[in-house]
Amino acid sequence: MKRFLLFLLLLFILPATAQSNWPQAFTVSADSVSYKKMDVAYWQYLEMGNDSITLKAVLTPEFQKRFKNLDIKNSPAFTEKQNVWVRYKLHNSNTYPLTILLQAKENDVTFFIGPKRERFDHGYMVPWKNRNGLKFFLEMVYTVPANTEIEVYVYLKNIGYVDSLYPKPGNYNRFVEQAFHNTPLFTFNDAIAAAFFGFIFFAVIFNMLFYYINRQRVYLLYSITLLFAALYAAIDVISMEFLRDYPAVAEKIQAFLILTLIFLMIYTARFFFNVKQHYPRWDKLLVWSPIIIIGLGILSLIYQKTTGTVPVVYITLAAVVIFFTLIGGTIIMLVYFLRKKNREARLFVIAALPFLVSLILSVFTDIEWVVYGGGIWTIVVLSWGMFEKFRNLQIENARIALEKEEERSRMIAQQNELLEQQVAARTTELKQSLEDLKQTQNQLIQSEKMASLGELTAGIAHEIQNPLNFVNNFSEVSAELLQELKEEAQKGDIDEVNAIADDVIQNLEKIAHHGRRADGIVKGMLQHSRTSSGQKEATGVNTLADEYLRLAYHGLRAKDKSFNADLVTNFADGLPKINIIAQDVGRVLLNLFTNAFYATQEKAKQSQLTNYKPLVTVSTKQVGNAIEITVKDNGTGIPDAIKDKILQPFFTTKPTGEGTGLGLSLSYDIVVKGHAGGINIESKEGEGSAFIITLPL
Amino acid sequence: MSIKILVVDDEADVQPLFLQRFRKEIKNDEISFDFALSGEEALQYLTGHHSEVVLILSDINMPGMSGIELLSKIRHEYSVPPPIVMMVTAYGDEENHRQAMDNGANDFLTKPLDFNLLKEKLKQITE
Repeated sequence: MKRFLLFLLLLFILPATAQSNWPQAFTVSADSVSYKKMDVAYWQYLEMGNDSITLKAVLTPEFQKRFKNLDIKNSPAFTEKQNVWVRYKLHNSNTYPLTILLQAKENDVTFFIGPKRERFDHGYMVPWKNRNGLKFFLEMVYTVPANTEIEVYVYLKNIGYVDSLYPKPGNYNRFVEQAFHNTPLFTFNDAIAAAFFGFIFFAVIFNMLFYYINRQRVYLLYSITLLFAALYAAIDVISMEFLRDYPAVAEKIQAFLILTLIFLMIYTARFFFNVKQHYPRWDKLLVWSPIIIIGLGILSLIYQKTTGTVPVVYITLAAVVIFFTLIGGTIIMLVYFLRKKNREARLFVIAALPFLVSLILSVFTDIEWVVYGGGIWTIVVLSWGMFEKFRNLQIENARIALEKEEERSRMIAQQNELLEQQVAARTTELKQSLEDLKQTQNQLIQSEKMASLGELTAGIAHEIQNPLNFVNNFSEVSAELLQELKEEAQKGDIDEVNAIADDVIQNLEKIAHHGRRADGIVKGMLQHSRTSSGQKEATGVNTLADEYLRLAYHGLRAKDKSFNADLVTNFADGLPKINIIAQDVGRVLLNLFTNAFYATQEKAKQSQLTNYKPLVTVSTKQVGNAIEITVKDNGTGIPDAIKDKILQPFFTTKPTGEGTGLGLSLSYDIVVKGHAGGINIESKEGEGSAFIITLPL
Repeated sequence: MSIKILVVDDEADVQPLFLQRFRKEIKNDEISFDFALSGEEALQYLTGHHSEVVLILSDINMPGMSGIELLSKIRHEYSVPPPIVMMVTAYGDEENHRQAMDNGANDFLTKPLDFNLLKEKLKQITE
């Protein structure tokens, strides 16, 4: 019966075992610490591709059947990322419960453990708060009761490598012991790391300052690069502190940082070595390659999320090739620069070499601080180089500023000189102009004199002609009379002889009179033509006025035969002789007469039909201690508008070429300045004018 | 029969000159002279003695009425019988000559007066 019962039991068990087909349970031991991969015999997996399947579905016989062991020889190639279920059994053979670790260093791992299928989440991409166990170390913690075997289902999302499937159990107590018990809270590495950050920020601030002062792009780029390097170095801390619940965001930030850092480093190098100037073609590559790397980086991020690992591998490979090409190129460039004894290159090598060595060292040793030390060295030396560069630049700028200043003052001096020359030239020109003007003025005054002389000559010719005629005629007739006288004497007619003799005597007197007259005229002319070196001498104003009135009249008549005017003289008797320069005052009178005649002539022209009689009156009288000579006409008169102007030099109402405009102005000078007299003008437009000259006794 | 000549000239000395120059003719009662010192005076004289005067000898350039004006007035006011008018001037230029002729002068003489020429002309008139 017992056997039967056992058989029945077996009967029940067998199909169950056959159906589930679980692998042999993995025995966890108290001393197993490390993450030794579980042998393929202990676990099974189920490829799900892109489908996601719930635990409930997985537990159905259909899917249970599909779990299989990994065939190492023909291990599947995960060309695309996929979701995978893994199952295994763990056995605690101890008499006490054992707390174990299940490594979850994948993106997203879900454990279903024990008969109750307890659910635990873990992984890089699982927010901190949702993780279970040792969150930081990505270790799932579970306590297996004593003498118990438990089933574990693991759901791994987005797995790209077969290697990720291996379960890696470990011992919790041992791990904690190793991780914390023997580790100090702060290490030398921490101090070095802190110093590293300090140096970086110091350098960032300094280079920003340099940039602020001299606006050289290399400083800005270098300080930004340093800033990003600092951020990159601190990204783990930052992610842990601020982004642990947003692992996806942290991942993106990290990618962004590294790509930007590559970009910035290359561009900083470009500016630092002034590559554009030295190797323009290489520079072009440097401009474009970081952009390509960034592009590739973004592409790989996209592919990592969606499709499989293969394109990502290719993309990453391409980026790495480019990156190493750049590094190689940079090394070649450095060598070239070094051979050229380029200061920057030497400095760069001094700065970067220890860092590179430290990187290599860090690979082979466990000493973390070596990298930080190398980094500090690099930053310090490079910053020193930048500072040197900055100082040189400042000195150079100061020199240029000084040169500019010198150039400017030289220019100013030059311009001053030029200006002075110009001023001198202008002054000379002005002086010349003034000379010319004076000369012209003199010429004008002279020509005014000549003009009045010209007016005189016609009159004079006429005036001389008349007395000469008399002289000639009277002498001729006297000769005839004397012939007659002889005849009468022979006849003995005494009365007749006496009569003829009387006539001859009378004639001779007339000849003498007309001779004197001509003589006077010639003298007057000579006087007038003489320049005014004149002495003042006692002169009879009446005679002077009469003489020049006649001269003016005949002068005008000589020019215009049709003109005629009544001349009226009102000379006061018994005027005392006054001391004047006769030819000057004569000229003034001549001017006034000429103007008077001109005015009447103009009026005659205007009123041809009316019964207009031109009339020019000259009168003299004594007023107190002065003699007044008034020249009055009934001509056109002077308009009020120009009364003030007629005494100004060059003012004339005559058509161009007919008057110099100097007549009245010179008259004014002669009377007022030369003789302390005065000229008064009384005039009414259309009725006539009167010029009253006052000459002191 | 004597011809009466009016001499118009603003120069007073012209009078004794003419009287002496034509002394014989005056004596023989061939010519008689009257004198005026201005155009206005001449016109005044003519109003009383118009018909007596055969010949007028007038200067052109005189104060007041000019010789040409006088000529023009004579020509307009004393048409019958028209006196012979001879103009005498020191300005023997074209313009004066033309004006004189335009206004109806019979002859144009220039100063200094050539008395022999004048006598010739007078002889032609009397014949």
